[in-house]
Amino acid sequence: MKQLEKGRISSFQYMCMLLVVRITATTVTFPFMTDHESPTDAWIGAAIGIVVSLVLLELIVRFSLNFPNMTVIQYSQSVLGKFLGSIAALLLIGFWVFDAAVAGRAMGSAMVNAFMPETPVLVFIIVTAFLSANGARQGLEITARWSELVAVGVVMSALLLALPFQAMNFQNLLPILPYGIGPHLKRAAIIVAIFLRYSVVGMIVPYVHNRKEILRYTRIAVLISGAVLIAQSIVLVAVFGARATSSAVPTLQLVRQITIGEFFERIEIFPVTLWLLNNGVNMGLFIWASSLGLAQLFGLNRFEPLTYPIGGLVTLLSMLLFKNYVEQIHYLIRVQPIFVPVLVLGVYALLYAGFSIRKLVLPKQGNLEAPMILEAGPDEIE
Amino acid sequence: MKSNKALRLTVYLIAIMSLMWAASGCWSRREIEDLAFVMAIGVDRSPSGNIQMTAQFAKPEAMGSAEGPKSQEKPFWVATTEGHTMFEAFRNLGYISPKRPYLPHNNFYIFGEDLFREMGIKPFLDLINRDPEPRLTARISVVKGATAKDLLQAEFEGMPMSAVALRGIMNHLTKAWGTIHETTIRDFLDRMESEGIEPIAMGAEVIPFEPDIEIEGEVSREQIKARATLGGTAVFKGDYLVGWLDNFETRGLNWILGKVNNTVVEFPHPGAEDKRVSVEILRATGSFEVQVEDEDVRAFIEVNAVGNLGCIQEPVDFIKQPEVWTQFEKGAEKAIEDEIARAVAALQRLGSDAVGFGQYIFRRKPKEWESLKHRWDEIFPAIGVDIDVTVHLRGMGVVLKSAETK
Repeated sequence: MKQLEKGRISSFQYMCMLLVVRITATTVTFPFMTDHESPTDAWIGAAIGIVVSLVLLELIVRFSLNFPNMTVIQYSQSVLGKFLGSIAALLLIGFWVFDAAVAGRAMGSAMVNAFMPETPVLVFIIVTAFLSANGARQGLEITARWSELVAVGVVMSALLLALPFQAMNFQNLLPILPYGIGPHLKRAAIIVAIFLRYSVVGMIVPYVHNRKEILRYTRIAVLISGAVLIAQSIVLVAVFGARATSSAVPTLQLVRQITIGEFFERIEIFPVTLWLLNNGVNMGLFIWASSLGLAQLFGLNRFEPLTYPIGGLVTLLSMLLFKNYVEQIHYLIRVQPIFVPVLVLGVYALLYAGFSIRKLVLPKQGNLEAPMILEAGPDEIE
Repeated sequence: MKSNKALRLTVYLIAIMSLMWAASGCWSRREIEDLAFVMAIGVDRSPSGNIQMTAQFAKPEAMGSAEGPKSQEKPFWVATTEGHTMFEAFRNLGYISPKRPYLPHNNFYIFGEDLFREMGIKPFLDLINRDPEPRLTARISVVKGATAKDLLQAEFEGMPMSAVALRGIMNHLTKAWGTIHETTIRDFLDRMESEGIEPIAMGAEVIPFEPDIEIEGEVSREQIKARATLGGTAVFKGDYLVGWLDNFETRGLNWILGKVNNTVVEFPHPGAEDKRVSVEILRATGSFEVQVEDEDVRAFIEVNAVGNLGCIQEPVDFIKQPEVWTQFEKGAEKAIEDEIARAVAALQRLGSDAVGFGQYIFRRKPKEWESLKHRWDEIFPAIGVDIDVTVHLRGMGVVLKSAETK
């Protein structure tokens, strides 16, 4: 089989990419906070969502490690056959393009809502998409190194959460569970939907240098971003109290509350810069994954020519998906928590079912590329 | 190969040219020369029933520089417009101001009393909350018995920029008296949206100023017409302003909420008639609990304060009579207790739970709050309050004995 992507990334870069990919999707609009009752103990919902995501991603990554040299697009065909496999692959690729568009639009409309109301949202998206497609064209390594840099910023910006300390009142975190567990399950579904963008690991796994560490680094990535998420929901409630649910750009509002000595204030430019960079990595990774996936699916010789068209597709989609902010927030809160898990988990469940059946029925035929691995646990894979 | 190169070149050229628009600067750019910085916004009801907005703009050219003579001009100017909504009224400032009115540096939102009594708060806060320009850390204040327009035209000595001067008074009162409850827009909105607590805002007053001495010599600028001050608290219930707490009732509320830092407490001298004692409270903590037992709601308020003796009108020899010291502590405790009782009584009279007794129940016992909250309007005015104040006086200044007449 022809190798389309020749890059190799370290497992640390892999973790950085996962970290960065999640940040824009959650922190810009922070959708899991909104809409549901009981904002005061939102962190419970976040915690439930993170535990569930951790389990799901563990399963997805372990499954991908059964085929250490193949991307999910490649093994979908060897597991499910030509027809079903292609459908599964197309669904995944479509989801990545779609998700990149949603995240791009979220970032763009946050910029427009909060900073530059006169600027068309297209401007932000088209610039990011062009640069990201450029990066994706050069292969995975570029996006990976870029994400390493941005991840440093992400970790540093987590420190910003401690800065509005003057405005925090931890009494706001009470009461706990006044409306029962119901609203938290809805919240957890949103978190799970956001973490399922990590389904893109199916594309990255074969290009990680040290595969033994993939599982460990996936867990670390989920836990770090989970910790940031929980910290953020606690700080938001401590600062805004009952009003934590009513902001369209809560993180930005939070940073706007920072005043230290009436001098160090109006520093919202830091998170905004970071969002733009994050979104670049995010789009770069998803454009890369979709282009490579398409190339592998249709047996092309190169994937690079696909990056610009897919970048354009992402731009167009992000403009066409939502007519206004109401539709966008409605998607994030109401549609996403059902749509995304059904799609991603459905595809992976199908793959797993096909894999199990093949393993039972055809144990010795060597239909799969790496039959030796089937028996070995993921930890022994080199 | 050759055509490939040409194609590449074309693509690059198109890409580069498409980025050329970026060279002209960013889309929503704002240059500082084109902005009129709003320092305070006042909102009243206009005679025709519309919203009347008064903006105080900074006049940077009048602020003077480090070198050169200090300008005698007022460093601010005030413009008033009308509109059906806050947004329209704000935009209408553009008819008067040659520069674009720019809100992010605004410190104060000041509202006329009539406005909140008659029209409620909802129509006025949405713009401040929704628009990205205003900051939620700006303070909210209500003018007692006058219009916000009057207040914004008041002047201050020492700090000519009047919005900055108001902030100075606010900081001073917060740190040295505790007789105002510093309220940001964020606090206000938080109280509005929380269960079992009602919003409050800082009170402000206009002091008409009539100079009683003839100013001789050259007066190079017009006289000050009015001054302004802050103090007291505007109390809301639901959407409407229902009444006021005076300075000491406000401090009573602040004792409960633990917002008093340094302040002066005054009470009758235990050893001499018609003489009084002042103590300086250095720091204080306040907390309250609410107990619910079968429909019977009781609040327990606990305040601990540490202070120094400030001044006494009748000398006391503390070496011979150490028990007077304890009497002073008791006197201060009594004075603080009275203030707290007055504040709670005033709030109960107004029917506004600005302390957050209901919020306490909601936070600790959400189930019970569900059954109480529909009748809270009846329950709150009848809540019994137990007040427990402890004052420890530590120092007595730099004298042991006061100067006495011999």
